[in-house]
Amino acid sequence: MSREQKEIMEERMEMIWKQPLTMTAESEEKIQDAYEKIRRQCAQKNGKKVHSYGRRSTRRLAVASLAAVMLLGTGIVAAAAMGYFTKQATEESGVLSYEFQINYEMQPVSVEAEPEYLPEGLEMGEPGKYYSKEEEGKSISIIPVTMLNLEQMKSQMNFRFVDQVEHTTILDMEADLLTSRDDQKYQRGKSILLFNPTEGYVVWLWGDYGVSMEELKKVAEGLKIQVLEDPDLSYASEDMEILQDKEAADGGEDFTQILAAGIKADQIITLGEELDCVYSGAKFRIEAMKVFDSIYEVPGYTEEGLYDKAELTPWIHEDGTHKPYLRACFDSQTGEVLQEETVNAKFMAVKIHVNRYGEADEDPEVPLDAQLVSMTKPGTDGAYHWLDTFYDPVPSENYGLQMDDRCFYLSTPGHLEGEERLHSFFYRPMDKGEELTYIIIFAVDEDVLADENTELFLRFNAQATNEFEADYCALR
Amino acid sequence: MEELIRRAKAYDGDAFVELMEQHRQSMYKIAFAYLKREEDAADAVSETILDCFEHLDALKEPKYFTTWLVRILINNCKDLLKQNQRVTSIETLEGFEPQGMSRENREFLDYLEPLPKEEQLLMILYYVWGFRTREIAQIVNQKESTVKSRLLRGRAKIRQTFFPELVTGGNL
Repeated sequence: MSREQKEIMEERMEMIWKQPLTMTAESEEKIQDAYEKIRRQCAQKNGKKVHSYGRRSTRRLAVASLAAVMLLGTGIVAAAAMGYFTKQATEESGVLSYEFQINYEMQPVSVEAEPEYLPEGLEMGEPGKYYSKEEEGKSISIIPVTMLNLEQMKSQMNFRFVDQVEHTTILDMEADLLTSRDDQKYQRGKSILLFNPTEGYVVWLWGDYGVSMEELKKVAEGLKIQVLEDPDLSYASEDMEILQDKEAADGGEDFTQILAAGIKADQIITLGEELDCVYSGAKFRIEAMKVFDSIYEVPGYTEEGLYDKAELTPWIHEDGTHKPYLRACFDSQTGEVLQEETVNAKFMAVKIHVNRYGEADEDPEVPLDAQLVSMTKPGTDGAYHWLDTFYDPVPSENYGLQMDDRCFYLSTPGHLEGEERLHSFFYRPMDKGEELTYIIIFAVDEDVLADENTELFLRFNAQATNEFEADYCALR
Repeated sequence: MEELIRRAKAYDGDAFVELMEQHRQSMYKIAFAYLKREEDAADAVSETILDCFEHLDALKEPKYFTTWLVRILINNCKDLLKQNQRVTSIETLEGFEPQGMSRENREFLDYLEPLPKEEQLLMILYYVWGFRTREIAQIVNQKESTVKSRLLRGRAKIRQTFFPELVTGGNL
């Protein structure tokens, strides 16, 4: 085959591989359901009321349909006066919400926004994302939000931790400049929103904590925005009622109820009992847990077991004890900072036995890591509940040893070299019938260890299930 | 993408959805190749979206997001395939035929037809996702040389099946 023929074939092959597949309405609904669940969880984590993030109610839709019938004949005039959307900004519980009323009479368009100015040192990553390879926190995203995007976003854009809003005009568009509270200390970004109801879009510019508002404003002022008409674009609102009916049938408060139900006693594995992780074909048993002042005291400790030595080094004294660090206590519902304090930490080592009983053909590797979880003692309902608050290092501390209470040390790492080390360190190839005893280490704040009102558990990654359905291994 | 991951980790639902939307088509292609039925492919993708969100915190290096995502997706496809084996055999007995499949989706399946399942996956990872052979080797736990030779074999089969004029034309 000649070079030319080969190129033709490669071209045709690429074309077929890259041709977008279609999805049925049922398939689309499954994906949207997944997104909806996640949005609900995020809303809950961020302290938003689940209802406020939900879809328009069936009742409201019914009213809207009736109104549409009543306005028949005059609807187009009203639509023209309204443009593509109107908006209303409200602030509740520290969340600035823009609620949009979309004019479904007008044909949606797609939009492209390219910057003609970028701060020095920023380069393009993914389309619309610009970042600095040299400086942390110096990145900018330019996100054109079309009417279809707004519809997907349930006609809302929400911003947390907003400090000030400045109303101005940029490129002849109404613009809001949003700064964040404690943006440096908590490494929070800032936003500029450009509203264009006449042409049917919003442009959202997001700058990380290392980008000043002046710089972001210059980027906004230099934007080259192109509106692309596409007669094939259409709103998904026809499917909304079906989705809403399903949501109503499923029970809109499911997530809140699941959260409130907590973890039942039969999901708790007591010390010495085996946890069967069917998904991974492995059984885990905690053999012992002990707290050490110095990491060097942990039996068999070697630097090889550290996932990232560079993250530990700044936080230990020469004798291996943990240095104090600045910690914030957050409200689990609102995400607001309730308290900041300097705390000390110790090292909790957990000795675990694992038995690989499943076939290794499908996935020969077993994840050996776990997450440390604090919960209340059982309530009158017999269930354990998540705490109303959670701790995290103040972001400006740059404490990255332990993300979300996941262990940072494994005595028997699965991969030690190169890229595999980075993304499969805690995954270890195990044959059927193979057994292994290993140690993982967590850094735990002294007051958390001493708190007699909370229980500490391990949730194993090998379960591969969500936090509500998982089993939890008691540590004491 | 790293920013989206960072924001998604901070429970920014919109950022997470945007992140998933960037990979939705590619995920769907793998799932469709594995499961052959649109609704099953959608199940695998939606399950992967939920798993990905659930375990996003475990991803320490955002640059490995796509390989990590694909790994979850493949596991979910395998699980669904196992679950569906019994159902599929019943449907086959009853002469089940997928109805109303779009031209694009049918073409895609036809295109995969001459390839064994393993090669189908490798071809999608290479052509759709744009992974390098080294990355593919890590995802499927095979040697890079094995991946390369399987890709070559896959290309050859597709060439013979769909581009016979190019094969028979040859160099004169």
